[in-house]
This record gives sequence, C-alpha cells and structure tokens, in this order.
Amino acid sequence: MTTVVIIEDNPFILSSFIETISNSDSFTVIGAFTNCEDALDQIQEEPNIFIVDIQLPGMNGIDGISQFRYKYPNAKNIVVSIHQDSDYIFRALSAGAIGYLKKNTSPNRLMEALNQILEGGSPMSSTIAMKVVNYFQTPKHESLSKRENEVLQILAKGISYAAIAEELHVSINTIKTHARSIYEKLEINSRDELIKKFRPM
Amino acid sequence: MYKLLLLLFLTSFSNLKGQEVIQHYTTSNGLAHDVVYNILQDKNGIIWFATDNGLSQFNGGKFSNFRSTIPKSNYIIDFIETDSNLILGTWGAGILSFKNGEIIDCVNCERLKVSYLKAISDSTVLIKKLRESNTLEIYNYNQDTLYSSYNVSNNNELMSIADSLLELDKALHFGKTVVNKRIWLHAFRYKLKSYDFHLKGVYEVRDGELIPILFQLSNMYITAIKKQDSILWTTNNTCELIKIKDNIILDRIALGIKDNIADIKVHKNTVYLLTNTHHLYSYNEESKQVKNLTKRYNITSKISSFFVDKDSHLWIATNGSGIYKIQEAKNKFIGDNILQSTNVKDLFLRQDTIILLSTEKLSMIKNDSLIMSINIRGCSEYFEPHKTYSNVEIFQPNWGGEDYIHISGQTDISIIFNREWAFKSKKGTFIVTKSQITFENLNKEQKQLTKLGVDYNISNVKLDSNYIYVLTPDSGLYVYNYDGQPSKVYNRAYDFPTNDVNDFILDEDTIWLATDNGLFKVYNDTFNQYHISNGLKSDKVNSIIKDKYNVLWIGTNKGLNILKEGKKIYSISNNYGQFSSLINKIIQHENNIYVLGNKGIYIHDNSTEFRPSSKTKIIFNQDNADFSIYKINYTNFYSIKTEYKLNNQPWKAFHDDQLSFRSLKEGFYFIQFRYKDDLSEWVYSKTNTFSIIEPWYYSPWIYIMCSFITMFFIYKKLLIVKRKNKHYIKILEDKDKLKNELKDIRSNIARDFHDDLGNKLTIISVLSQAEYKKQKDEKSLKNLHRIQLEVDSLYDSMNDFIWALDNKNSFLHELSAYLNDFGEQLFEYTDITFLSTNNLSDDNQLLPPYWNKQIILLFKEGMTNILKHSKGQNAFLDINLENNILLIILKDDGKGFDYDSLPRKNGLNNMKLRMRSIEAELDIKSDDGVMISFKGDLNIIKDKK
Repeated sequence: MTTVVIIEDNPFILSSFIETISNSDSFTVIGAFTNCEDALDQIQEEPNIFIVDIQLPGMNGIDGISQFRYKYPNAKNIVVSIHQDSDYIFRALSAGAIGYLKKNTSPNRLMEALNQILEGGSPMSSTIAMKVVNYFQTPKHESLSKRENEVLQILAKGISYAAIAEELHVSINTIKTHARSIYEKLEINSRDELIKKFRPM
Repeated sequence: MYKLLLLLFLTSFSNLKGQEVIQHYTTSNGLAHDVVYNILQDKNGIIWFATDNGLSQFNGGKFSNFRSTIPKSNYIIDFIETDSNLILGTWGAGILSFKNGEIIDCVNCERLKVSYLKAISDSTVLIKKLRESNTLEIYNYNQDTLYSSYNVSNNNELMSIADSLLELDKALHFGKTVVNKRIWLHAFRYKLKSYDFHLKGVYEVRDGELIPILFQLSNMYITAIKKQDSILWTTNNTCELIKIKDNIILDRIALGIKDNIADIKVHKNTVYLLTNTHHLYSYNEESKQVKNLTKRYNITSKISSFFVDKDSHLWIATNGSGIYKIQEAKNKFIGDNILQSTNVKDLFLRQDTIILLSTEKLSMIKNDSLIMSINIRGCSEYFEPHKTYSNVEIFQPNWGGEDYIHISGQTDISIIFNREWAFKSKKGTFIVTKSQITFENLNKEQKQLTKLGVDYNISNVKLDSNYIYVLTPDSGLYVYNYDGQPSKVYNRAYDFPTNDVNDFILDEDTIWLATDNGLFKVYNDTFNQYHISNGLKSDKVNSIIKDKYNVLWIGTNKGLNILKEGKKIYSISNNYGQFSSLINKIIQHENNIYVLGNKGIYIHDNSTEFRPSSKTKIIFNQDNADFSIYKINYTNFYSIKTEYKLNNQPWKAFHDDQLSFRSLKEGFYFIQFRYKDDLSEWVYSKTNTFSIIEPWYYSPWIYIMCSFITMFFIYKKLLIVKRKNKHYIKILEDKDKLKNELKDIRSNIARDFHDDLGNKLTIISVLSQAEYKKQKDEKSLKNLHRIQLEVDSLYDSMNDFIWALDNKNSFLHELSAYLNDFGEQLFEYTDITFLSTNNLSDDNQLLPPYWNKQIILLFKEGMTNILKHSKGQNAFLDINLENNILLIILKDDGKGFDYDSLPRKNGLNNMKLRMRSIEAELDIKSDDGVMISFKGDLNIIKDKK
C-alpha cells in the first residue's frame, strides 16, 4: 500500500482528496495537514508520497517540499496548486517535487497522477522546460548529458513529446525518462543550495 | 693683296628723318576712331582727341575712350575745356558736356550739327552750326541756353555794314577767329563761286556791331589770324604770312604755298600753317625755311587739325589716319634711311666727312648724305681706326694681309689686316703687335716694354704719365710702368670679378672699366660696381667715354646710358631719337657724341651739358586708403618708375594704376609717392595720410562679446535641454513606474483571482463531486454534473485569462509552449497522438496585444473539438513564423464536419469575428479532417507604435 500525506489548507478540498485517495485500493492517507509546520512536526513515518499545496499559511508548499526532501529523502513529492504559473511549478520542481496537479483535478486524474508518480513522475511540460533551459544556461553545473540537453532544448521550443520522439527516432517513454532525469538533476543542484541554506539548522 | 670692289654712291639724301621721332597712333593702338577732328591738352596735361566715335583720352601709353550712352551721335567735331569740364560739339547731337568720365547731354541744343566751337566767355561758346548754313550761335553751357542773336541774315545793322562790303544775298561766309574771346570776322578761307573773298580787312563783333580793326590789313583778304603773346600772325589770300606787333607789320613772308591758309599756330620760332586743302606747313623764323610737313611725315590723309603740346610735341589729327606725334629732336640719327649696313662698329671724322665701318661695309657720309659705300670682305668683326699719316689706316686684328683703297678725290684709305699698330706719345712711339708692346723713343731706340703670353690679344692700349694700360678682350686689364714691370692686373686671377673687360677710361686717379659684369669704378684699389639695378640698360657694357662735362656715356648691349656725378644714371633711347638697342662704341668729337649701334649712328649735340628733365606728370587721387595713379608722359612713358613709401618702410615699387591699402592693420599711415623716367631724377609727391579703421566686426572685443553671447545662449539652451531631459526622464520613469505598478496590479489581480476565485471554484467542484456521489435523483445528478463541468470550464478559462494577463506571456515562445502543454495534457491519456512542431528561432517575438488570449481560446477549443469529435488518430499543431507573418495551423486526420449541417454556427462565426478584431485571418476547412489556420502579421506592432 502506498502511503500518502496531504498538506492542503482548505478543509473541503483536503477531505475531498482524502476521500478520493482512500477509496482506491493501492493508496492510503497516513497524514493530512492544513500547513507544513504541523506536517513536519507530526508525521510519524515517512510516506511514499507527499501531496502539497503551494499556497499555505505559514511555510509555503515549496519550502515545505524542501524540508520533506531533506527529512524524508525517499518520499516523492507532488504539488497541487490552483496556480498554473510556471514560476511556482519550477520552484517546486527545483525543491524536489516530481509532479504537479491542478487543484480542481478530477478524482480520476488525481489517481492517474499518483500512479504516474510511482512510475517516476509526471512528464515535463514545455513551459517548465523553458524555465529549466534558462536555469541550466547559468553555468552552475554541467550535469546534463548530451541527450538530456538535446531533449530539453527541443521541449523548451514547445514541441510535443510525440514530435520529439519522431524527430529523435526514439519512443515517447525514452523522452519522458530523459525529462525525469532532468528533474532529478534540477533538484540535485537545488539541493546543494538547500544544504548550504539549511546547514545552520 | 686684292682689290676690293669699290661702290660709290652718288645719291644724296637731303633729309635726315631720324632727327625727329614720329609716332603714329591709330585704332590699332586704342584710338577711338581714325577720323580725328581736334586735339586738346587740358590743364592737367592730358591730351584729348575729338573723333568720329567719341572722345579719346591719351596719357602717352594708353588710350581711354568715352562715348555717349545716348546714341544720338558720337561724332565729336570740336571741343573746349572749361574750368570744370569739357564742352563737346557734335555732329547731330548738339553740345555735350564731359565730366568725371561721363558724357552728359545738353538739352536745349540737341540735334545741332556743330562745325566748330570757340570759347567767347567763361560760360559761352560760339557755335557754328550747319543745320542752317548762315547762322552763328552762342551757347551758354552753364544755363544750357542757345542764343541766335548772331544770326547775321536777320541783323539789320550787321546787314548794312556787311552789305557794302560783301554784297551778301543769301549766305554769309566769314572767316571767324576768336582772339582773346572776341570774335573777329575776316575773309572766308574758301573762295565762293560768285564772290571772291568778300570781306577785306578784319572786323571785331562788339555789341552786335562790326567794328573794323587792324587797319594795315584793311585792303587784304585775311584768311587766318593767330595772336601769340603780343605778336599777331595773319595770312592773306596771296599766301603771305604777316607778322604784326603793336599794329606795325614787322615782316611779310611769301610762303610760296598755292593754297590759302586756314589755321595758324605758333610754337617757339616755328609757325605752323594749315591750308584749306588740309596740308600742314611750317615756317621757321631762324632758318626762314618753309617745310611741307605733310610730305615730310608722309601723311596721306587730310589733316584736320594740329596742336603743339607743352613738351613741344607736334600732334597732327588726320581725317582717316589717326594721329601723328612728332617729337622735336635736335639730335640726329643716321639709320637705314642712309646706311646700307646699320650695325656700325666704328667711325672717324675727317673734316666734314664721316667715315664709318659697319658689318662688311665701309661708308662715307657728308652733309647727311651717303657719298660712298664699299664692301669689305671679312671685315665684319672688329676695327680699330688709327690715323698716322695723311691717309687712314684701318686695323682689323684677326686677319692678316693688307689692302689699300684709293678713292679719287677723297682720302686714301688703307685697310691693314695685321696686328701691328703704333701710336705716338710725347715720349716716343709705341708699337703694339699681337701680344707685345715695343717702345721706340724719339731717338729711334727700341725697348720692349712688355710681352704677354701668346694667347693674349691686345685690343687697346692707353697711357698716362706713369703707366701703360694694356687691354685684352679675354684676360682683363694689365697695367705696366714704363720699365715694362707689371704694376696691376684687373682680372679674376687678381680678385677682380671678371676677365671680360671691353673698354676702359682713365679719369685722373680713377679707372672706369666697361665689362660684361657691369661698369666698374676703380679708385685706390677699391671698386664700385654699377649694374642693371642701378639703372644700366644691360650689365654687358661695351664702350665708355667721358665727355667734356665729366658726364660718362655708357654703351651697353641694350642701350645707351648716361652717368652723372658718379651716381645718377639716365637712359637715352628713342625719347631723344636714339634708336639702337645695342651700342657698339661711343666716340666724342668736338661738340658731338657719336653713338654707334646696331641701328645706325646717333649723333648727340653735346654743345650743352646733358641735363635730366622729367617729362612725367602723375595725377594722384586719394579716397582714404585707395589711390588711383594716372601717369602722363608723351616722351618716354614706358620708362616711368613709380614707388611709394609707407610710414618709415623702404620705398616699394608698384606698377598698377590702382593701389589699395585697405588690408593694412588698423592705424594711421603716412604715404608718399615718387616717380621718375629715364631722363629724370625722382620726383616726390606730397605726403598723404590715411587711416585704417577695422570694421567693428573685426575687433577682438566683438569676438569676445560674441563668444560670451554664444556661450550664454548655449548655456541657456543646455539648461532648457537639461530641464526637458529631466522632464522626459521623469516621464519615462513615471511610465516605467506605471508599467511596474500595472505589472504588479496584474500580478496581484492574478494572484487574488487564483487565491479567491480558484479556491472557491475548486471548493464548488469538490463539493459538487461529493454531492454527486450521494445524490440519487436523476435530475439532481444531471444538474450536479452540469455544475461540475461549468466550474471546471470556468476554472480553465480563469487560468487562461490569468495567464494572458501576465506580461511575460505576451511572447510567441510562451504562447507556443502554452499551447503545446495544453495539447500534451489534453491528449496524454487518449488515443490521439499530439504532434506539435514549430520553426521558431531563439529570438522571441512580442505578440500584438490580445493575440495570446485569442489564439489560446481558438486553439484550445480546436484541440478540444478534435478530442471530442474528430475520431482521428493524430492532432497536428504547427506554428510557423516567416517574414513576421505568423501562421498557426491545427489539423486532425479525423472525419471532419459539414459546415452546413452544423446545428449552431455561432461558435465558429464568433471565432472569426474575434480574429478579425485582432486584425488576423482565420480559416477553417474540413476535407480530410479539420484544419484551422490562423494568419497574422506581427508588423502591426511596429505600425501601431
């Protein structure tokens, strides 16, 4: 059973998520909080998945994810937000999230997303890819492989996975694998900064 | 020895024309017309000519012509000078006045044909007009009034007097002469058909009456009268010249001229007489000779008038041949009119015969006539005539041999072609050979004085009491004492400037050397040099003599100079009747100086000492710093030199007729002029002054002020610009601030929408989902589902709206990524493969306002429709940008649709309207699948800016 912790400040939405996830056979909610601080304090065991709202009272979801990644490095984080703004999403990904969902996601879509998380995370969108390209253009870390770099560049141009796969003569899944790998490297970079940031703690 | 061919010329030339210098001026020299009626010299000394084509002014060098600008008539028949102007009588245009270079019309006598003008008072002239032949008129030029009171035919009193004398009927023809501004009437100079000379004696017109005067002439027909000082000269119809003084006839000269005399002028001892047939004669009181000048000067045209100027030049005006100027000269020139070979090398005089040597000719002249001329072969270079015995020996240095010419009745002439020649002195005889001199004393004892090297030629030897001076043409002058010891040498080897000494004279302690480098005066072993800059005609001086007045005569390669008082150099050329441009030799004999040149022999009467006299007058006119210089000289105009001295600066030569000193620096200046000709000393003008005041705009303080004013204006301008800049910067800053504020506002709106509306919508969605699960009622379920769909749709629309509101999403790359992400998510878990491509470069393009929102709405709906209705396998999205034309195409490979069968067409129509509102084109096709294409021009952003 995959354990899930949900942090969402709106009780209606929170309960809706709990209900949706609890109704499934393979997922169970082991913690539900309306803010990150409570979650960090009260979580007893490391969950498999964190579902975190970005806009939260007190510590925001992005900082929360950073803390969760630090405290529960094996847990996967997924962001739920009414914000479609790529800045938020990018920051969340950089903090260690591997997927994101709209808040009004249907129960089916929510469950698809959770399953996708288990497979490795949600695919990278073009808007995020544009952010990532800009991020990696800053010569901090030459951590992307040649192929990853190639995929990233094409993705950032607003070309669909299927079209990229055709162009590079590979399957869509290979493209997605590259995209997830980029997420991880994005997080590694961010984590270096995070370690520096949180070291005094 | 061989005989030379003797050519004896017996022809006699009685006239030596060279004695007078004749100058002929015509239109080719600048004269206004060759028909000249009259001549006048004004009080400034300027000579004027009345011609058939206006007035000519002549200064000796140049003619200036003046014509009436009103082209009635430029035939100027006669003129007189008044105090302020010239009064011109014209043929057909009446009287004109000339002043300051301008001819002015006199109104009240226009169209008159004037025959002559005579001044009869300070303001009136007597006019003979030819419009009516019997009238004389008086014109007052000050009042511009014409009086006809002397119309003789209408004057009863005059008629009564004249009637008895003249038997006048229709026309009256008097001779009229104005004497001391009185009109004298006398016989007409022409005979009339019916009446001989009509009027005997001379009458003066007084108050309209004819008063008989000069009773001693009362029985004569007087044709011309001239009063000169106290002498009255008249001529009568028998061509007698009658000289009267104090009413007593002093002389009656039968002229022997067949024509009547019409005009008389007197100059010094000469009476000039113009006949009514236009021939000019002269009568000289001393020689009692009458000369036909027309013939003498070979004048073929009729002489209309004549005039003797202040420098004694006779000017003759002709009717068709212009002007003749005859310069009186007491000196003679024997040129090609007598000589067969004019390049005269040498001469000597025996009694009244001139024997001269010229190129290849030996000639004899007696009484101004050539009496013998023979060819002398080879004797063309150099001769030394020497007189030893009764005959004449001619020495030619460069040719051996000897020849004797015996001329019957004449002096025997020996031509000795060897180098040996001798001359006698009180101490004995000197024998000069090619390069040595031997002295033979009175006891016939010979002593060799000197022996030069074989290359030396002795060209001249002179003695004084202590020394023998031996001249060589190429090696300078050698001086020996009588023992044959060298004393002094004048050549380059002995620090003398030249070897080329051509002549020398001994002048007490001074030696004058004529050389190729000028004239040298040697005194006490020092020398002074004279050359062109001192006034010599040429630096190559060939011959030199000193006359009895201690005046040096210098013959150069370019003319004849005179040196007086050791420093003043003058020049004698055709101004004195000397025409040779190259002088070979100068010889003094009795009172004459014989100048032998390339054009003949100039014989200067040296009975009186040469005295320089200026023939030049210069009129200076000043207009502050501008000066006009008008030179007048009728003798040697082209030798005039002019200089000026400004303040204390050195004299400076100038040649122009205009001088302007306006460009001088500001200040007060003194200026003096001086001028000379080759027969005069410097003549100095009075000192003039002028001041130069620089224009105000040249003053330094003006520059400073202008600079200050300019700087002030620049400063003011800068202040304005700065203020404006500040203003503009503030506007820009305000604009940026506003922009940022707007951005913030938009972000805040977006966030607030998200936070409030998003959450609320999410809650409604979640709640409706929860309620949906609980509800059993069909209708309620349907409504709940509808609520859920609407909320989701509203949520999506809100997201699109918020996205479009964000400024950073106004670029094509962001739009492309957004559409791609939408498609990617939409088709992710479907059977349709989403293929999106584009050709976008790295340069991100800004989209026109509202394009992003409209395009998103369009293509999101399009993609949703593909998902819902196409039943195809692929959805294609292509974004293409070329030449700023954006083309977005969405198509599927599904079943398509039939437009006509669509139940509601509003959706499509609205889409088209929306696209039109953003000036873009929308095209929807449905063949094999559906194709939606959007086309828009990004240039409209620039256009809108």
